[in-house]
Amino acid sequence: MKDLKLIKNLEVKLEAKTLVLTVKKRCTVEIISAKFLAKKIKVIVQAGAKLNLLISRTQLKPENWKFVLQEQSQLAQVIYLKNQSALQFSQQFSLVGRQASQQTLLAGQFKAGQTKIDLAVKQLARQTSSQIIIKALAESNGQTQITVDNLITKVATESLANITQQSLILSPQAQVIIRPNLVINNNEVLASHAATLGDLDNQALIYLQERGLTYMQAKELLVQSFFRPLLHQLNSATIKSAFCKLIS
Amino acid sequence: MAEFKKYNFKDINRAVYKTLPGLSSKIIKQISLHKQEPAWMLVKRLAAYKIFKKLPLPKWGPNLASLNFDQITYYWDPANQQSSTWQEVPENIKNTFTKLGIPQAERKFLAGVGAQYESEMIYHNLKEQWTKLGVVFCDMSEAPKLYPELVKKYFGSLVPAADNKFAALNAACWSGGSFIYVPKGVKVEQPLQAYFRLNASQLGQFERTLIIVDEGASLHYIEGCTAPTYSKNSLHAAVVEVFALKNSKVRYTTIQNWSNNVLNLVTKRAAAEANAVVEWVDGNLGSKITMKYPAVILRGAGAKAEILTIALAGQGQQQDTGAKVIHLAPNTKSSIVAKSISKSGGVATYRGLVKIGPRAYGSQSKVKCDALILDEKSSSNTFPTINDATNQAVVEHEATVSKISAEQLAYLQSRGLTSAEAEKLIVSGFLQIFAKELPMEYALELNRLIALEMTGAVG
Repeated sequence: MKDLKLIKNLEVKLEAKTLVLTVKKRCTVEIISAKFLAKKIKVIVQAGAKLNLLISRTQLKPENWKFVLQEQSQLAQVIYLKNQSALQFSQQFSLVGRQASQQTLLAGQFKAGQTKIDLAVKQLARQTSSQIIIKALAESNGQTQITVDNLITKVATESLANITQQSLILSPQAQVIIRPNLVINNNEVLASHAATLGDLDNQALIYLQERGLTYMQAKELLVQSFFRPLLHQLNSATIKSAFCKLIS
Repeated sequence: MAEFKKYNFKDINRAVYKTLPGLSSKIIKQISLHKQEPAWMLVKRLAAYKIFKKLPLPKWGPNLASLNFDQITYYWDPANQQSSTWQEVPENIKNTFTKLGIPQAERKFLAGVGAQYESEMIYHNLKEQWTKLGVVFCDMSEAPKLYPELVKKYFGSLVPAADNKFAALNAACWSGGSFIYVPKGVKVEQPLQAYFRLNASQLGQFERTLIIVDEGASLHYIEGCTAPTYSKNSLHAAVVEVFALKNSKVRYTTIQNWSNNVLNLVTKRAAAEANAVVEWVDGNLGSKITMKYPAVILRGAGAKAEILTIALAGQGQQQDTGAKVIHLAPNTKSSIVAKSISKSGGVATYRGLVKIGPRAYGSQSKVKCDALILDEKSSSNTFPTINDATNQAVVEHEATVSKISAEQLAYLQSRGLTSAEAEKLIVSGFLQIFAKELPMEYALELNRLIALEMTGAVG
């Protein structure tokens, strides 16, 4: 794990028990594996800056994340939670500057216990863009609850918002609750959300077993292929390669 | 404007009997006594009133703080008797419904008609061919006296008084509404219709509709609602319970065109047994605030629900609508299509729930919500919840929010339409899926209402 202080163009401070990370103007920062030492974290992406972030299960100790995106800044975030049991965390995104954009891809395998994830996006300036793609696997007797609230304010004209939630429920005892909420307060927007819930494709499972794979191998392969399309959404080669290793 | 006057005219308010404003146990007893209903119904009313006092207003959704329960008149009997022939209806009320086109509609294509004015049904008529087959279509106020066993079995079993504050209010002071029973195997081919008219200011209309469609039977029920505009708010808090027994089919169509001073807070719920089909077709055009989420509980294997809802929110209006489907049995299917338009500062909200229970294996659900926002003052919200507790069901949900396509507008204008005409045409096209599900006369009426809303003539 990298020490955040060693990352170039990233300012690290601790303010009232909140870890504050600032990506400097017009700089690009990639955080792939790092130690987050506080329960609360605030990330400021200054004007024209880019932050590529990969967070995996072990780094999710901060339960409350706040992102502030200034003018023309970009956040591309991947959250990967493997074999996660009982988790609770929230992230808030404030797109305060014109043309700020955020993309969050969440891939999770949730097992026993209650998992509660809340993501809230506020688009507060013109031409902002938000994309959230969530792929969740619910196994064992886990209860997974994922809420996304996306607000496009009156001033955020010409903005885009998209929420996609895909869930696979692999056990009869598992439960998934999803709430993709959109609040739109102006008409110059394009906003959408889509959600699907289902089981693994039974025909594909049989096909793979006919070709010599065991049930578990076939299932593992299908689970990998469930997450794999997220790779196409990523622009950063480093994040892409790190995420590819994780899901393989 | 002539079209607008068709709905917005006011009659001189004459009551044969009415209660004082406000609600109390005493007023509930007065209502029950005036209606000469059985004692067991009064017991139910008083129990519901206790629940009403305890329950808070909903903390989610539109702000209902302006609602003053003490200023509302809860019962207003305009006629003191119900008529089964149009000639017997009091002249002033007859004029109202004649202006609204009710008798003409009955003659043309309906199996039966009910008309409610303020708190009471003033007219109910069912064509003889259906009476002979045992179909019952009567005033709900009469049902506890005429069909006590059915009412005792079904009343409040799907929407109990404790469901929400307005369900409790309705159970305490309900009056009027329709009671329908379709016997086993009888398919009522023409629709039955009820028309609800609120005429007085600061009046509450609390009709209760109970529909039981027995095994293998089918029914299409249509309801329409209007009220003239007053400066002070009126309240409409209805409860509808629909029981679709094994292999039956029920379609419930509503075209709500309340004036913009009516708070329309309605609980509508259906239960579908094995292989039954329930269809809600729900159009919300008027009112100041509407909170209405037609629900279907699929409790028999193979049952099916189809819900089609549209909402048009204009100036000062909040259309908080949606749908709920609860899959409790295997191989059940549901489809929800919701369309909304917000304009001139209106707020359209879709609030929905799809719940798949652990035993609902092999079930499928599809939800599609589309919203159009016509100007920068208006808002559109979607709050869907999907709760899946089985690994053998498929749920799909999609929603889009956008404005009218500039390309479509430009195309129509290049063909000679003005900007307003082009906008009207696009909105009608957007809602076409709803109009297609209505009998032709209603589809034409709906198009006229949409055109009125688009020109701002209403409200």
